Parts: sequence; structure tokens; C-alpha cells
Amino acid sequence: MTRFVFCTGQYDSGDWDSAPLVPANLIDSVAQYTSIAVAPSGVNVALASDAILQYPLVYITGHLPVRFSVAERRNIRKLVDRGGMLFVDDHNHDIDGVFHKTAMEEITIALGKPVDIPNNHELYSAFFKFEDGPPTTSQELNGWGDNLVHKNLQGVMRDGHIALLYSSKDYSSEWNYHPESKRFNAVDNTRFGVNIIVYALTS
Amino acid sequence: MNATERVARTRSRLCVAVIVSAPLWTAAVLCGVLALELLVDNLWRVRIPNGWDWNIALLVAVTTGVTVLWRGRFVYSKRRVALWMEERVPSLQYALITASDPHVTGDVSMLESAIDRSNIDALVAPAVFTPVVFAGVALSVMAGCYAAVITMGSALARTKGPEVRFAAVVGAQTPDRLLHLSVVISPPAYAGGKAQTLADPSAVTALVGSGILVRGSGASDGIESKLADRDVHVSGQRGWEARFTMPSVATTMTLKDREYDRVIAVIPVIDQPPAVTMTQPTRDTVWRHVPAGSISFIAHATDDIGLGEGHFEYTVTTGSGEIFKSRTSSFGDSRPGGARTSDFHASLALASLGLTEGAILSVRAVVADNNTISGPSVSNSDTRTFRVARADEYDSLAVDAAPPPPLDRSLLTERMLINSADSLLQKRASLPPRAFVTSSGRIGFDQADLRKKVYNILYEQDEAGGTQGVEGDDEELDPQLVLNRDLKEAYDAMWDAERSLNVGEIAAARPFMTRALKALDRARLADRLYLRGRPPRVIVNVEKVRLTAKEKGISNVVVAQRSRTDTIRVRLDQALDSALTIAQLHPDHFLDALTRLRVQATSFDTAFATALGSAVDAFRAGTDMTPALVRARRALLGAPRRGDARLPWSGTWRGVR
Repeated sequence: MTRFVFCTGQYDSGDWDSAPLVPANLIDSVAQYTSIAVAPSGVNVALASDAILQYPLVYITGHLPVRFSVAERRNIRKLVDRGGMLFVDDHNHDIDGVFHKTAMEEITIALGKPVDIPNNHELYSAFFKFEDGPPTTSQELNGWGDNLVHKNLQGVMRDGHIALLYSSKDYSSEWNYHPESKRFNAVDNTRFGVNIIVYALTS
Repeated sequence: MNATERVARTRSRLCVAVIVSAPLWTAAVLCGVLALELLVDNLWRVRIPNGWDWNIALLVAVTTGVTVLWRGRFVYSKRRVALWMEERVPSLQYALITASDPHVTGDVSMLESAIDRSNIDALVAPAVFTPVVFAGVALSVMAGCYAAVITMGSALARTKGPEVRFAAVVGAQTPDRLLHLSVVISPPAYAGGKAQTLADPSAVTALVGSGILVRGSGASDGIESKLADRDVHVSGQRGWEARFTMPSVATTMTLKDREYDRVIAVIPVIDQPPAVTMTQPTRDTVWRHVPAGSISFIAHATDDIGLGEGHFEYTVTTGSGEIFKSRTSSFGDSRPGGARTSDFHASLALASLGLTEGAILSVRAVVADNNTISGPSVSNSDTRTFRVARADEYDSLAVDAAPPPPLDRSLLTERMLINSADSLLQKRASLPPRAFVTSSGRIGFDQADLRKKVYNILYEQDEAGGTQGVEGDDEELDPQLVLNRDLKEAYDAMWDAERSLNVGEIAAARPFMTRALKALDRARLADRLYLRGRPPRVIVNVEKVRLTAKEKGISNVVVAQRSRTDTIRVRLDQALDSALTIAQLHPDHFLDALTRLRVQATSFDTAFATALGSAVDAFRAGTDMTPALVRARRALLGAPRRGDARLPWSGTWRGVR
């Protein structure tokens, strides 16, 4: 079995590397909770590069405007056509923010308009059970960003499978800490990240 | 029996023979011409327009019958019949004519006796009935030929395709009105262009929104037409026609005429969105201070049909940390008026944007085409980003002292080597030859050192002791592994320069050194520099933390990773297998299956769909479609790859390259 390599998508506009510790944190969680063979460090791969097509899950985040180039848009379509999955997280946690507006625009052009994912979706029971859908983040609870607690994640579906998962909940801030610090948390807040990875690999 | 009675009897027989021969020859010629038409159609596919095959055959046959009757018209005259009999028995020497002539008076007994002795009946009777026998034999032969050609047509239809089979059936029964179609394509108004007529196509390919007119011969009664699941009205009496507008997705047009049917692939050509490239400025910029003045922007746009409108769009983002605000607006509107290529020029006054420290200005070109059917399609260029640095960021940023990037160092060193080489070359006249060669060798040594550094950069090896590799022969540089072609060129040029320097041939080394410098320069410029610096790299000790968490998930499927299959390709491949199975079990439906698969694949894989179209055309033409199917399979799954199996013997294969 080949090892799962966590891939962060590098796009030419914006700050794609705004949450540099998320990959290591999720890799640590995958290793702690599951027996999935996982590479010890993630990779940053340009969306415009065909190498992106080798990864089953691509994580995209940022604060700044997202403007995909033609090659980036083409590869996103290819990745989805090949059964891959993108996880896009708004690091601004602001639906009036520039990342949300531009990313949604680009996603709609590339793959179609995202729709709300029901909170009983398979994603929420892929490994851990989340009865109420996506877990809230401290950014939401503190009222930062758009001062909303988003009830649903959104997604673009392909053949009943989530091809693109979009989050306005700012998991990028929530999970952006060194994995060694995880032991200080009463409840590990990266468990939902494990669900995303397990879902991407198994569903 | 006297002469008069003999002539009358022969005349009667000749009448019967002519009357029987004429229809027999008519039928024989009819069969012959039909057989000939069918043979030509089957063998060379030279097809006579629908209905005219019978018209031509009947015309030739009736002409033949009339000719036979015309040639036998002499039977109306007893005198000419008598003459005809005399021709068969020349020894009578006009005894028969004389004896049978009513105007002759006197004793004709001598003549009658001579006639009786001549055995005229035995000589004339075969001549009377021989034409009838010939006509009968001709009819039998022609009918046999016709039956044989029909049989051959059926056999060809089984091996070559339904169209030939239809031709055979049509020849024998009622014409198939689905043969010999013509399709007129009228492009949409916004695209301009002339109407195009296709003769008997297996697929109709046209711009979305084009008017499609399908025509056939015969009345429209009983002809059914469907575009996907939608009925298409068929009208006309002297020739039927069906009209529809080219849809935006590939589909099939199914035509039915009694027991006949036909499937035509309807493949839309999508009006591609325009392409736009920002040609000026060419790169992102960081301003040290809030800028004044203006920036000129130039974008180059192209479209397959025609450009409608273009403008530049800018977004100003301000804020920091987790709080950002942005506003978006546009400038530099332009209307190229349907041109396929256009350059957009605009200038943006920076003072009007209210930029502050930390602000980010993102500018992109946006163009739209003239598509009034499904559009307009809008495209945008890459975004140019201009950032205003914060006054304090140069003070507060923790900048680690670090050497210049290896690539920049390499560039400087190569330039220094060139300067050293030039300087040594100028001193050559004043230096002893041995000292000159020694100095040149030192430069060559430095060149070798630099080449090794470039080698490490090529393979991203860490100079500080990471995965330091051993730089070896040139053969070790696998071209497939080399990501940076410019660096590879620099590396190669350094090799050549080094060899010349080592033997004191500086003049020979200089062109290679210059080439290496330029290649290094290109490589340096090709790398995009991010001012944010490298993100922190954390390597998780996976084995240490493996399954150490106390909490367990509810799923037990984590070990069963799904295979990463290209789902659409797999489905298409399976559909192709099904179509090929149909070819063996139900060959009559094979063409329709391929056509439908082609339509299904059009929006996903153009190469696969095109190859299937070639296979359909080959099938209809009765030629070998194997190459087209091979192309289709390779378009879908790629070329065959060598497996891991090793041959048991590893000696040289002579004659195999």
C-alpha cells in the first residue's frame, strides 16, 4: 500500500501557505488514531503542475484573493475527474471576506456551485462520529470574522462523492499549531481532520 | 399445304416468337441492369440516387423490348415473311415468294413441287423459335446474376456495415429513405460564416446554436426523428427534412423509417472562452513606500470566434493578521468589435486607490466573447499583485543572516570566472606558456567546483549535509529527473568550458562560459521569489505516535484505501468493451453502439471520441477499423507500458535497436 502524503495546494495568487502547521498536525493525528500508512511530512505542490494529480487529497487555504490561472483551473478539474478531493478552508472565516468571495467564484467556474452538505453525511462518521455535523472552531465561538457559527460545510459533489469540501469555519487557524502542543488540549480538535482524510481515502 | 399456307403459318409463328421474345428480353435486361447497378454499388460504392436505379433499369429494359418489337415488325407483311423464309432456304430461288404472291396467275404446281422438295419447314422452324430460346436463356442468366449480386450484397453488409445491407434490401424492396442524407449547418449569427452542407454524414459537428437541417429523399410520412429523447418534427412530401438547433451537449439523432433506423452523432463545438494574458507588468511587485503616479497595463486576448468586451479589474485588500477588507472595481473598458485577437491598454492612477501601508493591489484582465447563445464566456488573466510594505516590517521582521541563494552565488561566480578568464587572456602575451596553462587550469578547477554546486541545485541537495549525492558522469543526469532545463544547460556548458580551461584553451572555453552564464540567469529569473520565506517544516515521527491516542474512532475501514481510479476513463473503457462485445453478438447494432459511445465521450476525451469517429467512418466504408480502435484505446488508457518482468537472458540483442 502506498503511503498517504498530505498535499498543500500552491496557487499563484494569494497566501497559500498561511497555515503551515496544519499538514504536520493532521499527519500526527492520522498516525495517532489510524493505521493508515502516512508520510511524516507533507508536500507543497503547485496546482498548475500535473504532479498535483498524484495526490488523493489537496488542502487549499489562504486569506487573500484567489485567482486561479488557466492551468490551475484545468488541474483542479482533472483532479476531481480522477476521483481526487480538494479541501478548501477560508482562513479568514468571513463570508464577506475576500478569500471566500474569490474562492467561491473560482470554484464555481472550475467545478460548479458548492451546495450545503447535510450534517448526517458520511463525512461526519468516516472515522469519528460528529452528531451535529462539522465541529465548531474557537474562531467562530469567539465571534471573529463574520461572527457566524456556520452550521454546514459546503461541497461540490461528483458521483455521490464529495469532490470539493469547502469550509468557512477556519479550520486552518484551529489546527495551525505544532503537533507537540496537542497534548495540552482536553479534546483533540483535529479529529475532524482525520475524518476528512479518511473520507478522502476510503469513500 | 401450299406456299400461301406455309407463309401464313410461319407468319403466325413469327408473331408469337416476337411477342414472347420482347418481354423476355425486357425482363432479362431489367435484371441485368439492376444487377450491374448493385454490383457497382457494392464493390465501389458508386451509388445512384434513391429511386433512379429502377428508373434507369426500366428505361433500358423497355427500350430493349421496343427494339425487339421494332425489329420484328416485318411479320405484318406476308411478302416480307416469305422473303425471310427464302433467306433461310436460298435454294428455292424465289419459288416461295412467287408461289405465294396472289398477283401471280397461272400454274404454280412446279413451284409448289420445288417448295415441297426443299424441306423448308425443317429449315425455318428453328429459325423462328431460336430468338425465343435466346431470350429465355438471357432472362435466366440475368436473373441468376441479379440473385447472386443480392446475395453478395447481403454478405458484404454483414462484414462491412449496415449501409451496404440496406442497399441490397432497397434494391429488392421499397427504398430506405434514411440513405443518402444531406445535412445543412447554418452557424449562429454572432459567429458569422457560411452554411455548410455535409453529404451522408455519420456525425454532425457544429457550433452550439447552429441551425441543423437534415434532408432525405421521399415523403416524410412514417419517418420518426428524435434528438436524444426529444421528438424532432419531420416534414415534406417530395423530400423529407428535419430541423433542430445544435444543443450544448453531445447527443444522438435517431431516425426511423419502418424497419430501418439510423443513428447520427450530434457533436457540439463549444465556443471556447477567450484567453487573456497580462503582458505588462510581467511580475508582482513590493513597494517600499505608498506609491504615487500610475501603472500601465497591457493584456493580450484571443478568442476562437470573436472578442466582445474587455476590461481590467482590481481589488484593493487592506488589513493584517486575521482581519482584511477589500474592494473591487474595474477600469480600462474596451470593445474589440468581434476581433479574434486584441491588445487591451489601460492605466491605473494609484493615488485614487487610497493605498496604505500593508495594502495589496491585485489586478487582472477580464475579457468576454461575443457568444449570444450560451454566453458570453468570461475569462481572466493571471493576477498581478502589488504590495505596499509596512514601514515597520523591515524593523520587526526576524531576518536570519543567510548567504545568498545558491543560484545567485553560482551566477556571480560564473561571472567572476568569465572576468578572470578574460583577464588572463589579455595577459597571455606577457606570460610564459606554462604559467598561462597553470592559471587557466586554476580557473578550470573553480569552474569544476561551480559545476558541482549546480549539480547539487539540480537535484535539490542540501549543501549543509543533507542528502549530499555524489556527482558523477554526465550519464547520471537522467533527463527525466531534471526539472530545470536551464540549469541543465548551464551544467553541460560548464563541463565543456572546464575541459577547455584545463588545457589552457580559454578562447575555446569562453563561448561555453557565456552560455552557462545566460542559462544560469534564465534559471534565476524563472524561479519565483516569495518574500514570505519558507514555511516551517515539521516532520512527524509517525512510528513514535502511531496509534498512541486513547480515543478510538468508530470506523474500521481505515486500512481499506480506495483505489485511485480515473472513474470516467474506467467507465468509458468498460463501455468500449461492451461495444466490442456487441460487435460479435449483434453486429447490426455495433455502429449505433460506437456512435453513442462517441457522443458520450465527446465532452470528456476529445482524442478518444475522434478515434471512435474514425472507427465509425472506417466501419461504414468497409475498411479496417482496427487502427482507429487502437488509437481510441490508447487515448483512453495511454500507450502500453513495459512491465516489471525481466528477461532471463540479458545479453545484447543483435539487430534490435
